[in-house]
Amino acid sequence: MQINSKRLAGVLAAVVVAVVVAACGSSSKSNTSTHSGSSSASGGTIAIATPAKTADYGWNAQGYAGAKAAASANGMHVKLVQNIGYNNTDTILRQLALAKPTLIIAHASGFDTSAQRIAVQYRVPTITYDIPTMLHPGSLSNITTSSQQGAYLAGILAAHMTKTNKVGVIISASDTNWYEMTGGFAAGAHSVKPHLPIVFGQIGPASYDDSAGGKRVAASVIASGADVIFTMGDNASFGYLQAIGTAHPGHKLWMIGDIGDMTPIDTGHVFLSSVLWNFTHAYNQALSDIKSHTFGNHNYNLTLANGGISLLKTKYIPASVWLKIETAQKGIESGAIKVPDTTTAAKAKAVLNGS
Amino acid sequence: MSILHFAAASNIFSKAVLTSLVAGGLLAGVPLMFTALGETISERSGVLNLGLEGMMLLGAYVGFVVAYYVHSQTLGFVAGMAGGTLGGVIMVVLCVWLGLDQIVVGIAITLAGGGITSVLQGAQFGTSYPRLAAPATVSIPGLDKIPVLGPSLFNQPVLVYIGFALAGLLAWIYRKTNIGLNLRAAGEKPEALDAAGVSVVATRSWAALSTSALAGLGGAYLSIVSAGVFTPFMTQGQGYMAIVIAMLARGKPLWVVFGSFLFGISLSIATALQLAGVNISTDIVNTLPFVAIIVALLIFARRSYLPPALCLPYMRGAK
Repeated sequence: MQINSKRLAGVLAAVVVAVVVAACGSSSKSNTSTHSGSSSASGGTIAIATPAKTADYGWNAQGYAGAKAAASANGMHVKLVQNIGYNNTDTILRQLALAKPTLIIAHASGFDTSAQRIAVQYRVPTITYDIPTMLHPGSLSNITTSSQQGAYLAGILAAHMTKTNKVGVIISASDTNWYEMTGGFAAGAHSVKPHLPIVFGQIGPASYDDSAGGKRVAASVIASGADVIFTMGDNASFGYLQAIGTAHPGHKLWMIGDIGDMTPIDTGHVFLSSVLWNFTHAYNQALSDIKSHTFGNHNYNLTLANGGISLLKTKYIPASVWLKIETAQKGIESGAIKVPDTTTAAKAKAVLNGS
Repeated sequence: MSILHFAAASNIFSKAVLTSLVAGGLLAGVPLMFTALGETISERSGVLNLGLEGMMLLGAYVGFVVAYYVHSQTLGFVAGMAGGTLGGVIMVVLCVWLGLDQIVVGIAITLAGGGITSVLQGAQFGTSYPRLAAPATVSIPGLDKIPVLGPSLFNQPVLVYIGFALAGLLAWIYRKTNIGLNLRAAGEKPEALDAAGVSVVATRSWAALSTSALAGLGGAYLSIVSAGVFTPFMTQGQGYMAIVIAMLARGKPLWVVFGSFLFGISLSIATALQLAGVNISTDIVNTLPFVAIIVALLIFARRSYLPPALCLPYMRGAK
């Protein structure tokens, strides 16, 4: 048999490239690390899988921070698998389940389908997101958020801080949470100034990580005259921050973020506040339910009342305004203020338009 | 409240908003333009470059790093071209020299480009996310005074003007020079080019390297100018969109410019409709850029032309 040396070299080269690609892919897509919650950590493991890196000052960072805090409080370890994207979820969650951790946090609603199947199959307590009926005794529970409550407070803040009497909202994707917060923000702003115009922009159907798109849309919202802009977006948030931090419209601009705190990278001094999501309480509750064999009988909800949702207090917020925010928070917690829950774009737009 | 009333009330037709929308379209279109112009070169020569997405990411990352540390956006653009060319070298060695499958290698380069830049970004800027200052712009005297269009189109970084000039230069090269003729022969009848004494491998190699350099430049523009920050996987499929635009444009540079800005302007129109409070689903509004491209496809695709030897490796004497 005659061997074509060029072909052989080609195949070998392709194998080398494939190995390099696989190595890069695995190192980038599934960075794994273990964190000890406390020096005496020995009481089990919380495994958390995140779709993107945990250094995003947002969803992934807050999930990991919550897992670490819960592990620390319960003397456990955290096993983190980050940046897994959405293509290989099943395999990674299965590997986590095979290690039999105390709790798996499948930290994205996009993981729900795989996580549900694997949790029931391997009987490992697993947390999913956004579908409150996704329950199975002993193996599956779910976290939802009342993030519109925090957004309502952000709306109050924006209405008090605007000098142009126009505020903006930008979202990165067609996401239920983004619509809920948009409606909550509009309701809060209109509770202070009923006729306050709110301009709305969306980058794309699923442009969570489109930082260039975030900058482009933010520039248009700024040009429309909005000076306080509530932004939602994962990596797109870096584009918002860049646009708001470098624009020179002739008046001060403010950005209100979501989920995480971008203050450490706010070199333009424009980061006014953020609707923070804190998962620690929900994770602690889940661990407690696992111990009492009630896990999977109910879901968990992040609210203002349980500390899962809060508005970030920064040095830029005047004390008088913060007092009004605290008053509104008490009203929401007591039920005196009803915040609309706008789960769709149409419902959110209706509130934006003051209907 | 009617759309027009709301639009008027929200100041949507102000000069500032219109200027920002046109500028936004340009901002979104320029990276596509450079990348798609590059793709026309390699496609003409018979090399389908599916690695554009990865090359853009390499260019975006390397360009951003150099611009950030050296404090020179110009050097950042040059470095971005070099970064993209790294991907091009792999394409040349594996596909042009060794004759491996262009589609498989292209996809591998895209995956590697995304993975490598994501790892490097995480290691270097994972918690700091540094951002660049707004780019220096050059205004064209007289034209920059035109309302709306002046400040949006004629007050741009010098690279934008170079991009337009490049499109004209490529059109001239393709039509009037031996280089253009050689590129076309390499893609249509490589045996004839070989018989004429011109190396098909060298022609395709230079074409693939030029493509990757321009894809890197497009990526560098994206991170340095369009976003001012590098974030992992920030190209969001623009490399693939550039391939579609290059194919729709039938390899003609001026059509590439038109297609790129059609996409960019469509994005801006989608934003404008949202800002105006148009009461239709945002999902529908957001499909506008893609609908525009599909409509263009329906109108022009029947006459689309791809070189007969596209994707086929050339080995002298092989049948």
